[in-house]
Amino acid sequence: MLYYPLINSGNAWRCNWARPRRSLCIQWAGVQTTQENLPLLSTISTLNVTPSTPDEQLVSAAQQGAEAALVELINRYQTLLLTVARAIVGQAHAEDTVQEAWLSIYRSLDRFEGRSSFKTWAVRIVSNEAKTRLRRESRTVALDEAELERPRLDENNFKNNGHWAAPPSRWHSETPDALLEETQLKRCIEKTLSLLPERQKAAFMLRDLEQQPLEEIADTLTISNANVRVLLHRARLTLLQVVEHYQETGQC
Amino acid sequence: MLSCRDVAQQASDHLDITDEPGLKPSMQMRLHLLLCRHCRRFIRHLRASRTLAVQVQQKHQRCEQGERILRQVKRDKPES
Repeated sequence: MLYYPLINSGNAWRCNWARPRRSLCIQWAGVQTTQENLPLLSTISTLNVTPSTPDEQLVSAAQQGAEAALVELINRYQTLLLTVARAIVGQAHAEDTVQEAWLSIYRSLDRFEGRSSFKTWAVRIVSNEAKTRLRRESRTVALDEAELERPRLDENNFKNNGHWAAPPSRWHSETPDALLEETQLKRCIEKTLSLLPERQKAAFMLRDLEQQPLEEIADTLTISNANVRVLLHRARLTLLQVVEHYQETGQC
Repeated sequence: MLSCRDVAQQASDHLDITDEPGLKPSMQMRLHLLLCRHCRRFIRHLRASRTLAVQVQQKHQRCEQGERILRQVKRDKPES
C-alpha cells in the first residue's frame, strides 16, 4: 500500500508527519499542490501495513500521515491500554480515559522520538490520563486492600513443619505447547483471565506479556513494588489452580 | 532453611528473579530446590501455567476497533 500523505487526502491530517518539516502539510496549510512542491520522494512513506509490521515502522509511517499505520497501532494496543485504565480509574471510566489517551498520542506523535518503545510510551500516557482524571474529579477508586496482602496458601497442603502434606500432583502434560492443545483448558484459562480483578489482570499483562520491569509497573499502577509482586502472585496462583483442577477433573 | 511452605509462598517472586539475567535466587532457595522434587514441580507447574496463560491472552490481545476509535478521536477533538 502506498501512502501519499495529505496530497490525496481531503482530510486535514495534522502536520505531525512533517519530517523534514519544510516538505509537507500541503493541503493542511492551504497551499496548492503542484508538481514543483510535491514532497521529495524520500519523504513519502511506503509501507505495507500488516499485523506483523514492526511498531517502529508503523510509528514512522503514522508520523508521515499514514492513517492505516495508526489504526494498526490502536488495534494492537487498545486492549492493553484498556486494562491499564481499568486498573487505575475503574471499569466505568476506562473507555473514556483510553479515548483521551489516544487523542494525546494522536496530538503528540510527531514529538515521539523513539527513546522508549511506542508501547511503553502509550502505557505511560494512558496511566497519566487516568491519574489526571482521578485528580480532576477528586475521586478515589475503592481499593480492595485485601487484594494487596500476600495470600496464604491453603494450609491443608502443608504439615505443621512446613513440608508438603499434599504435594503437587503430576500433570498429564507439562509443556505449554501440549497444554495449549487442550481446547477445554484454553477456555478455562480465557474465562479465568476475563474474571481476574482489574489490578491483577493489569499486573499480569504488563509483567508476563509485556515483560515490563516491576518498578515501571508500580509506577504505572501507582502502587508499591511489593504490591505489584503480591498482585502477580495472586494472578499466577489462580491460573495455576485452574490448570491443576483441569488436570484432576478435565473441567474448569 | 526454607520450608516447602516458604518456597511455595515465594514461588512467584522466584519466577521474576529467574527471568532477570542479572538476578540469582538466594542460596537458601537454590539449596531447597536442589533437594526437594515437590517444590521443583510446583515451580515448574507455576511457570507452565503462566506461559499457557500468556499464549492464550496473546490471541485475544488484538482488537479490530482501530478505525472506529481513530474516527472518534478526530471527530470529538478536531485539530485546532
